[in-house]
Amino acid sequence: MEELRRAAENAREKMKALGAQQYACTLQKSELKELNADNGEFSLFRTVFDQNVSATVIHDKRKGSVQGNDLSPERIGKVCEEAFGSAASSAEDDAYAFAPSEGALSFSQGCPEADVPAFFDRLSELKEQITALFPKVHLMSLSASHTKETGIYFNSNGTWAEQVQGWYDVGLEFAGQEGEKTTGFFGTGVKVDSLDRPFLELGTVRRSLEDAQNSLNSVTLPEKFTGTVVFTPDALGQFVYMLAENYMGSSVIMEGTSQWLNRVGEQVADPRLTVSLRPLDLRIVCGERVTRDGFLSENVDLIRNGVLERHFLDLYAANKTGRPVVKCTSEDLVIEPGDVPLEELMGQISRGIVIGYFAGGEPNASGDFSGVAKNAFYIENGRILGGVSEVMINGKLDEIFNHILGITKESFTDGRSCVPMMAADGIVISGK
Amino acid sequence: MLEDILQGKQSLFAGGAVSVLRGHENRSRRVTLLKGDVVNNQRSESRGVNAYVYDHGSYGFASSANYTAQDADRVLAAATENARFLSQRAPREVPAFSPVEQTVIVPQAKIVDTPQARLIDFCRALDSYIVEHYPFLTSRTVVYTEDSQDRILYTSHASCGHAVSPRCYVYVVFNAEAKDGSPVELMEIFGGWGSFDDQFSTPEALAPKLDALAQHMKEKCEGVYAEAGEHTVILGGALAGMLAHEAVGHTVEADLVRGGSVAGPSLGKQVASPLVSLVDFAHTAFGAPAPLPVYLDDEGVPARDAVLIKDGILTGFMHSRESAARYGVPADGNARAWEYSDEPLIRMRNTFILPGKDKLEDMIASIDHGYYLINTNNGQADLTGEFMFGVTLGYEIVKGKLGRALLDTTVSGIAFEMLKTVDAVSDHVVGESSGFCGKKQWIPVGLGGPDMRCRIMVGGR
Repeated sequence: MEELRRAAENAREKMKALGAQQYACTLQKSELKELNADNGEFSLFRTVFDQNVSATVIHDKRKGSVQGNDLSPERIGKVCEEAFGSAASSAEDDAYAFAPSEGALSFSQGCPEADVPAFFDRLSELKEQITALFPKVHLMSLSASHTKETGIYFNSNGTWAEQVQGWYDVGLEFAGQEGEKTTGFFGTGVKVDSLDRPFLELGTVRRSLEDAQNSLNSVTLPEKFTGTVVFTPDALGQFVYMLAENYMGSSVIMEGTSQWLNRVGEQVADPRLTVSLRPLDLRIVCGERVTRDGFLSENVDLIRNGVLERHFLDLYAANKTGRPVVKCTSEDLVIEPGDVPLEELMGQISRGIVIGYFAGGEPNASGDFSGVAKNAFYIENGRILGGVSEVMINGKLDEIFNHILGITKESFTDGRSCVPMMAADGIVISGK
Repeated sequence: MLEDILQGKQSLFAGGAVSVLRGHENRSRRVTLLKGDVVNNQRSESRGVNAYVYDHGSYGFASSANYTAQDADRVLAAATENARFLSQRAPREVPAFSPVEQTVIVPQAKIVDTPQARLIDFCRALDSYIVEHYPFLTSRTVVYTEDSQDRILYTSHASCGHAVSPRCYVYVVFNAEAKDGSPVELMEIFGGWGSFDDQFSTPEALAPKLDALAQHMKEKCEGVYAEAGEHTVILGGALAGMLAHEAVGHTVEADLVRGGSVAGPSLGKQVASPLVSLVDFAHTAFGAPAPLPVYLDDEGVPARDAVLIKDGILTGFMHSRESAARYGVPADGNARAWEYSDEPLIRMRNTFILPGKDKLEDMIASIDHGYYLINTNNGQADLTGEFMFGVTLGYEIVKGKLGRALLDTTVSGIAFEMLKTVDAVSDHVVGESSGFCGKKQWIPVGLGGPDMRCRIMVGGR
């Protein structure tokens, strides 16, 4: 941290020497240790020593940003000069600003020191469990890392925030395979700050492996119909992020194209839906502590009991539109669980599908979406009949959340999000 | 351009190991104007040095953000140690790598730093033109983006060299309202290989293309939803390229083949109509530079074309040195890395469906009820060959003529089934190069193709 403090002081002195009216800098050093396995065999051990500095200047109401990855005094000086120069070439805008002073802050989270042999052993355990418990699952790739990050953020308003954090990340890609028959890609992952639990028991790891294996039992979807879609935690997270971007995000609010532009305080979704960004939640590993604008991060409700609480605006968008800023720029998603056990919810479905994830790109400006339901299963009269492929779903984003059949009691925590499953009616489902 | 501080380091390569030492710098510049406001004005550079060592069946990789001779030594030692850690704990049996031509590749381009002020002024001029000429728009976004890679490689058992890859683009996004008041969006991308002055002269030079985009936008505002279901369509060149990349390209990357992709059992078999041939070009396509030329990959393999489908027969896969050894074929230079901190992965370069002999106007005239799909903004593919991509610009075909524009839709299918339905291929090829492919790391890719008549699943209402 001492080296980083010296580098940060260099940057601050340089900004003062340049006469920058407002400035903010982030400096970071990190060390990543990563183990990779391909087709079930460990193949690569990767170590990355990284560092970066970013400098943003607001001068005469003009803004510019420059990033580099050399923390030497000469290079830091150059980054600050270039940010100053870049600001000079920009356009005036009253909305540019940094957060007011949050004072001196210090954070320490997670597990900064890696235990590589223990990590290797936990990963070996996971590989062995997959082979033993899911013999029809082929583990295509396993990418698992420990990251240690040390950082300093400061701005001209007086905030100086130091942070040390460390975490383990595990990502798997796999498919169900039997002879020449293969399912599509399945993927899952977890973020943890200790190695005290087997990875198989965390997040959606076990469930996703079961789905991959079960997906080999495939059926053909009958004709196009309007039915119920059950969103797994991964799929629900996808749709909620799309909802946030299409209806609540800075761009669409500034453009004026959001369908929820003037609906804060109104019922926009089913009353059972509560969507929050909760970086301070204990279930979130190494959550955000200082926003990109320089605010101390807060837990934020975007939708509470179906009512739109606020748009998801950064400081620039807030200043531009005269709307409140959100003191959270992370994606640490928490969706409140419901009160229906999954089994009971499935039992209520006459015709529909379970969707593992959605391959359809971004919805259009009016919220229409159309894409492929991946890792999907067909449900009829409350029973899953088999896996399906080449199935498309179409609809409108906000309508999904106004036609909720139920939200499960069961919630899945993967270190980045806490998300239940959800079923929604009225979605067009079409096969070939 | 990167200074060569790595010369002479080959003496430090561990005996018996296959080693690559790479100096690597990425630069990016970005300006975003949203309704005339500068919402993003950024410059970024990151450089470092890495070592990639293959020893006794395992790989070790280490990188440092300090581009110094001392850190080159440090990462070599760390990568070698990492390979040993793994080979001792988890030994693998891998065939010996085939020999690779040992030559020296020289830079084929330069990176030119354009002052940020010039980029902002260019975008503002475009924005002013848009405001003046298209008052029906409710919003507009103008983005200038450029990224470049500068790489110096020294290897123990392959080629060495210095490879430079600059590219730059202007994205223009129009927003307007459909007749029912719902928002409609349309985007076009201009630019390609090289630096700012290679691609852009004056803002006025883009006026005809902006006018054409505005016309499409007006038609899209009057547009209709496609009818969901399987249809006869003409895929425009941009979509043919997306198909080549997503639907076929990923399934024939050898790591995914080994992972069980549908292409594995299909080598040497008919997977497409005999009218379809598909090549992953290295640096030259159709007698001219490919959209994003690659001369040397990040394992030190000189890049050459990979013929993937010939006359409908699947003829090959794309390889790293290890996968090429496993399949008993030469490597063609498909192992690429995005940043200095990234290890090489099997990636596409410039993936094209080759042109045929038919004329687009004849193809349109041949369809009684279908669609002409022109532009796309994204795509994904799967092991099974199932693909989807978004369609942002298209038109109905009614009784052999173009009809109403389409609102955004999606197409999907199973690649090797859908390609067998191709029954006409135009003689005109369109190339695209602005995108990134995501697969653990991003990488710039080029793609393209001709217009193709085929049957495909269309998402709609």
